[in-house]
Amino acid sequence: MISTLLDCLFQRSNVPSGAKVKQRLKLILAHDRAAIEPQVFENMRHEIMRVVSKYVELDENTLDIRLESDKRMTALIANLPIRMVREELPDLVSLFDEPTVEVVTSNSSESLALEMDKSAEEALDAIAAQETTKSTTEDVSSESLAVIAERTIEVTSKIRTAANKSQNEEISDRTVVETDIPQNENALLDTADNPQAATSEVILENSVNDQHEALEELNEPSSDQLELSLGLPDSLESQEVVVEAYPQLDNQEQEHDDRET
Amino acid sequence: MSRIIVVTSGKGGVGKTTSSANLGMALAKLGRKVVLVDADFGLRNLDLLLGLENRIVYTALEVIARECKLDQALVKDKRQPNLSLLAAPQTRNKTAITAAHMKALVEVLGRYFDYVLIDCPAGIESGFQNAIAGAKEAIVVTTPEISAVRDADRVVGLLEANRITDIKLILNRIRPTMVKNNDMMSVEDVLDILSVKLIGVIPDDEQVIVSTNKGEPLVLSDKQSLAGTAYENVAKRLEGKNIEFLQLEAPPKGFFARLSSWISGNS
Repeated sequence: MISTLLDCLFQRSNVPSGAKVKQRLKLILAHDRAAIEPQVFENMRHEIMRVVSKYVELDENTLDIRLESDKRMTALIANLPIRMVREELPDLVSLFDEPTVEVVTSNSSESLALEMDKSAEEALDAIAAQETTKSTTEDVSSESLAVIAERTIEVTSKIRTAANKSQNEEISDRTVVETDIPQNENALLDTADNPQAATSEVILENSVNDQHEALEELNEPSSDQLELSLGLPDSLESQEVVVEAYPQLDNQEQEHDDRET
Repeated sequence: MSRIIVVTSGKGGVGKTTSSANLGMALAKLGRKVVLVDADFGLRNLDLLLGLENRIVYTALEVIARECKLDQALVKDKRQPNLSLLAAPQTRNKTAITAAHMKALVEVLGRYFDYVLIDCPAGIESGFQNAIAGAKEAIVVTTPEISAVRDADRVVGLLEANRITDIKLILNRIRPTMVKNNDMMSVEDVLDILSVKLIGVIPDDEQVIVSTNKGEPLVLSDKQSLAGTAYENVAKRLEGKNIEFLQLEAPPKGFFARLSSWISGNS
């Protein structure tokens, strides 16, 4: 009792909440029932004004377009004070070019909601599509590059052993396998002795280097997706070169060996 | 001609189940054959409010899965033989209960009972859609609170979208003193906002909790309560009788209340 008394003494200025809650409810329900996003409503407002302004000059300061709901029915209320009627009326052709139909359909909140849903879906689809392409390019690139790298190593080692073999048979004290960078020089020197093996080796070295570069490129956190996918066909091409070159080389080596033996 | 009525609200905890139980019992007392269907699968409570929780063997789930006959699943109230209950399963089995199942179920029940009252779960998801599937009428329960009224408005819109246009409103937990002090929306305020036909105003009553504790609906109690009378009036109005709404007035002020209001200057 005393607390009630104190409450009354110190909170005399308290405004009853009943009126406030009713006001808040009315506002929120008008919005709920219409189910129109503020941005969409703003667009609709602009479009209506644009169309009407073709014929009459509106007083922009006093015009009023809003949604009102009463007895479970939402209506678009527009009060557009006219300053004057335009003398030059727009020609019909340009009028039909404008999407005036949209304004009519925008009045129904359902079609608007549908439109919004559709655009949201489209946006989501686009995101999904983007994600799939991203993942596939990444998958392809990493996998194929691994395969390429493996194959090239295999190919080079085979060629080297083959070359080694042929060289060992000719000059036993030269070891080609260990010489990696000066290989080219050696190979060039060897050209006279073993032209086919040497040139092919040079090509392969280059392709391996290409792929290493491509791999490095992948490992870098590249911000541009386009760059990455552009880098791919190169390595794929080089892979093709290697694969095609390999059996040919092998045969030639074989022939070479055969000839020498 | 039976009536299939869904009791719904959107928001939880506004008194759907209490209203279902009391309305069912009140209609049964008026001599109507009533079946209460608990559609709140997984969170059943109607059996508790009716005090029938120990007598449930089969639920709507077993009926739909054809594990028992419909008659076996109906629990008859011994205190009021006109009232039966079809309980909801408490364990939410993966056997999906669809709107078509519910519709078929209430339509069959409608052939044998005067009233089929469906206690709807809170929310507007699948449970709600299932509950309203077979209903021809709806009773929306709300309280004079902003969230409850907003949800009620949403539910009314959804019911209309589902071609249930016969919608009536129960305004629950009105506190006359607060309304008088303009600290709670009045019946008129809520009706003005929702524009739904009013069928009952239930005052906030401590006896509701007492009756829940006992598992005995208010309308069954010997001791008359204001809320119990209000529910009986709702039942009579459903029956087409023109009953005046209870005059809910704030109790007369005590000495200190009068003193404090005199001090604060609003008599």
